[in-house]
Amino acid sequence: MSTSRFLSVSLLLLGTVSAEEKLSNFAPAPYRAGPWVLSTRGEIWPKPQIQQSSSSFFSINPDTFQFKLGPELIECEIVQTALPRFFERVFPKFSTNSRTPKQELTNAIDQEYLGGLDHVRVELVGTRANCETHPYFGMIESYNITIGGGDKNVITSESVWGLLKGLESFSQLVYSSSFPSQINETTIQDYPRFPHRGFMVDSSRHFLQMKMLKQTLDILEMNKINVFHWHLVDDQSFPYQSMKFPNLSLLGAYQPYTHTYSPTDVEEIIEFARLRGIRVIPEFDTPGHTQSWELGQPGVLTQCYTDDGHPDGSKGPMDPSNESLFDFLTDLFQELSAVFPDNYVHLGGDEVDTSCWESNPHITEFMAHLNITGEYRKLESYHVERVLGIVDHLAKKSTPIVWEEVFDNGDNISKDTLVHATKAGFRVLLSSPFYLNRIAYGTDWVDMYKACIWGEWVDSVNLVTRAWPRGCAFAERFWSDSSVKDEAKAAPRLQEQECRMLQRGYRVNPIVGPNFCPVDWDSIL
Amino acid sequence: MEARWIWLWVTLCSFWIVVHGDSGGDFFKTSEYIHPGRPGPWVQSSRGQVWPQPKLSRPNGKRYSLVHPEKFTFQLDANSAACDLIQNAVNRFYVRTFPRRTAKTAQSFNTNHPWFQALHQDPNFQGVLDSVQIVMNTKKGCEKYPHLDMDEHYEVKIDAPDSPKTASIIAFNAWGILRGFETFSQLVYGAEEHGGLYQVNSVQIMDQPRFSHRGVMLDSSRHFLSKRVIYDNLDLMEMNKMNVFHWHISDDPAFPYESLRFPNMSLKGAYRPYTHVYSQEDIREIIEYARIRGIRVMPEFDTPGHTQSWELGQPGLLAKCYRGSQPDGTLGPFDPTKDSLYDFLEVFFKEIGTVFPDNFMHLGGDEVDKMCWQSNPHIMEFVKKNLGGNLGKLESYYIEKLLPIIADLPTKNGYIVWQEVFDNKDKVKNDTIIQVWKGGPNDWANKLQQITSTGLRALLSAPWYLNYINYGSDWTNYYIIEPLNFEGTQAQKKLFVGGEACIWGEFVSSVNLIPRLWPRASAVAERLWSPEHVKDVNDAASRLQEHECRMLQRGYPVEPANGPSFCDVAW
Repeated sequence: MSTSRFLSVSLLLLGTVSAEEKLSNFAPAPYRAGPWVLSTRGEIWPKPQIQQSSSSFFSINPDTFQFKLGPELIECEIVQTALPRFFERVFPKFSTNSRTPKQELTNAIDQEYLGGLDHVRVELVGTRANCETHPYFGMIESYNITIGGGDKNVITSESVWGLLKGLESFSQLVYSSSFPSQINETTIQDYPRFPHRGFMVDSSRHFLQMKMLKQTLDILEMNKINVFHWHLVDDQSFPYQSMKFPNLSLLGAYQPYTHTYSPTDVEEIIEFARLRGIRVIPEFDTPGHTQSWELGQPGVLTQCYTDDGHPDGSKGPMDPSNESLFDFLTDLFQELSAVFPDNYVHLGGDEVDTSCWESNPHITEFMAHLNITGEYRKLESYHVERVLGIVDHLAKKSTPIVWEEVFDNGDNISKDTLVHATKAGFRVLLSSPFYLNRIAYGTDWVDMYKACIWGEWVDSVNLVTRAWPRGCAFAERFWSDSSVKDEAKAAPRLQEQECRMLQRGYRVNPIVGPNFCPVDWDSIL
Repeated sequence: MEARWIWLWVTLCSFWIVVHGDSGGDFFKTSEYIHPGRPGPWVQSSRGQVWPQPKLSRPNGKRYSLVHPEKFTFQLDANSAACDLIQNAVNRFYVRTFPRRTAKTAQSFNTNHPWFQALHQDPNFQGVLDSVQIVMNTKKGCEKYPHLDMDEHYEVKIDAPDSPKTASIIAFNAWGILRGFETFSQLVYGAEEHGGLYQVNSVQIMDQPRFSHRGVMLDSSRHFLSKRVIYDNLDLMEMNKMNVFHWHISDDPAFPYESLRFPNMSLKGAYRPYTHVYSQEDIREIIEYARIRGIRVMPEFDTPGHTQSWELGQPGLLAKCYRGSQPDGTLGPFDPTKDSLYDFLEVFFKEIGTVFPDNFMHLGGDEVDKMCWQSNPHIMEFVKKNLGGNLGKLESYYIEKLLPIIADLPTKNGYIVWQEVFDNKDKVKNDTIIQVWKGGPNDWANKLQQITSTGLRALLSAPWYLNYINYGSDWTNYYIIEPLNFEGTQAQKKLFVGGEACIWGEFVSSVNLIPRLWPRASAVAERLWSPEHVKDVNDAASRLQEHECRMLQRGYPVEPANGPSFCDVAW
């Protein structure tokens, strides 16, 4: 999946517009002193649907500023726990306050200065409103913001998820210029273009530290992405520590104690994500990409045979002729459905290599029994349908997501199923053009607008650096209106978003060419 | 150096992705040493192997010793004890040799432990090594600054046949001892499985570099690079036995060098004064940090092009561009027709000559855009009068006026220029080094042939532009380069001084410099240090895997180079 699909869709994506034309829109004039792109100040990423601002502004003082919650939000966990987080984002620790030149301060007292702003009200409104606890597919995320001075400063939404998005936007409206923190007179009505905006990480190829996963979740929130697709296991390692099958990680992880996710770790990630309005969808890819499963659960994979009919010692995909496989998978998925609260589970189903199946006489016999001799795609379908059957009978109703191969194979899947790719008829998720682990030189974010980061060359060292702010491009494509697509206009805002994330303490890459952030990475280490 | 090339590159890269879609993945899938369809890492790490590979390395059977970090010392002889470089190095290399040493590991070890007692049954076990002798065979004391011709040859002996159960690092001067220290620190490995004791295998190593100039070029203009990141990079260079920090300090976007004589240049020409500049103190500290690691700091103030930021603090240096008979408000390269320019440069470079002790300076000289000169009637008038109307000669005119200024500096005896200066047939001193940066393998090989045939020395960086990135394991591309693969006599090959990994700053800042550069630059380091026959990619991959984890364990955020894998210590 990480390789072959990329090719076909890149062609689709770029085929109509030459690369040169795409870029010329953004190409700045490098032949002059100073940065290529000048950063905006106090602009929001991703761009809100409707926003009106004036150049008049208020100053904000961290010593006096407050969020004032409406009475309906007292004891509402999601919003309550968010306030300290957003206070820090409004007033980052590493702000450049002390370095603001004095001269600018005196000039600031002019007619555009509207005085101090000491609070913002945060309110849940509407008849449908209640204090929800878990994010879900189709949750309400729209919100409004008014910044008008006096008591006319308010963030409203019909759901706590919308309030989180509103608080993020508010934190981005605040910037440093004449004052260390200031905000322009603004009204915003904002809502997402698409309900599923996901980001995938691969913790099998390289183990990813808890700290890095949490940083990633923070950054997802800053970019209003709401699904964390966790590709937990693959050929190389099985870091998920199962309660029912502890050997899977004891023997299948790179290292059994330091390079695994314990039940507490997984719970922590889910909780960390939940508080940020982000769903965690686990992926347990079968029947291919499962080499590491065999180490802790011998017998699940297909034995491959030599041409003269002897087992050659290597293993292929899972062995669907082995009925005990499905008993095992039933137990495992039962555990998973209890561990992961989201209603969706990703079942993989991509890149199944059938050559091993072809070599195995038991498989051949089994297929004859099913009356599908020689049709290996149908064997794959058989496996996938059995797994879908297992998931379907779980106590908790789960909706499966599969990679597009499953759809391509004509598997018998229910209309609820989300097909992860570019086909029609089913509810479709698109990720092909957004494989962020592929890197090209220069300003490649213009090509990225679901973001997946596969782990072959990505570990805790470079996860955040490689994915961000390139992933921001994708975030805006799926949140903002389809008309927001001018790279030349996006670049200055992206520059601000990049420096904003850096200033908040995340190691994000420089992507718009020669420039600088007011706060340098070194000073925040 | 390549601002204008960038867009072309971006365009080509984008197109290339469209056509090929896939890059590194294929390499691994077709390569012998990778088995992606199995659990575990794609590349198995070596243990206690040295990067870059030493010239000669002879193991003494399978014998090995253990090393107790709390009871280990470096024993300095009189010469090395009197040398500040060595005194400094001892502390540094103790930490490198025993990374993540904790009080716990030291306490947990007990020689009465049955496990340790059992080791004595093993005929290969040579006991606990408690010291390394540092032997500096010189009568001249130690040199202060590293230089192009410094002697980096050394020997490391650990339980060698002629000196069993002892260890020593032997060299003729401090530079060799430093390289030997690094080698020794890499031979020691694996404390986990020995209850906190480290292992070192018996071996005799005789080593020296293949080429004398092994550099990394950083660009601190396009993004300001913090001092800490520059330090980290110098540490990593030392771990890879690289010895030249080529500091491309100024360029069009910003001028971060804080000049004593011309403070306005950074006050107005840096991205931000005070925070995004290198003060004189910063520069002294960086040079010192490099010096004690045996690394030269060679500054580059690129002229006459790539100088837009100079004008902000020193107005009047640049040529005015014209539209018709009127200046259009934009500026081009330096205006070589003005005498005042040379007055300024004389004072400016005199300062640079004093601040930077290395006896080479890089003068740039690349990518000069002649359009602006051509539009300027005053300049064209000058060309007509003095250069027979040949605009092409104006750049040479400038360079030939600049070179004597540099040559007259008391501390300098050489300079390096980008290849354009050679291509323009400028008259240069015989000891000039030409840095080749353009084109594919045929282009640079031809250029090396041409340069050396005129008797000039050559430095190569064309195949090693590490700012360009692709998906997958691209270090092999840098590794397989054979720099002497050009037509020429033995005498010509001797004029090849080495190479540099360059990382231009358009998309590189303090945030991503280290992960983007390392361990990819390690490939270049081995190519420039190890003998020509060290070129087996499979063997290199497993040693590089160890080296990657080693650098990570020592605390540097280097990125994964070999596909799915893990290090004992996770970042």
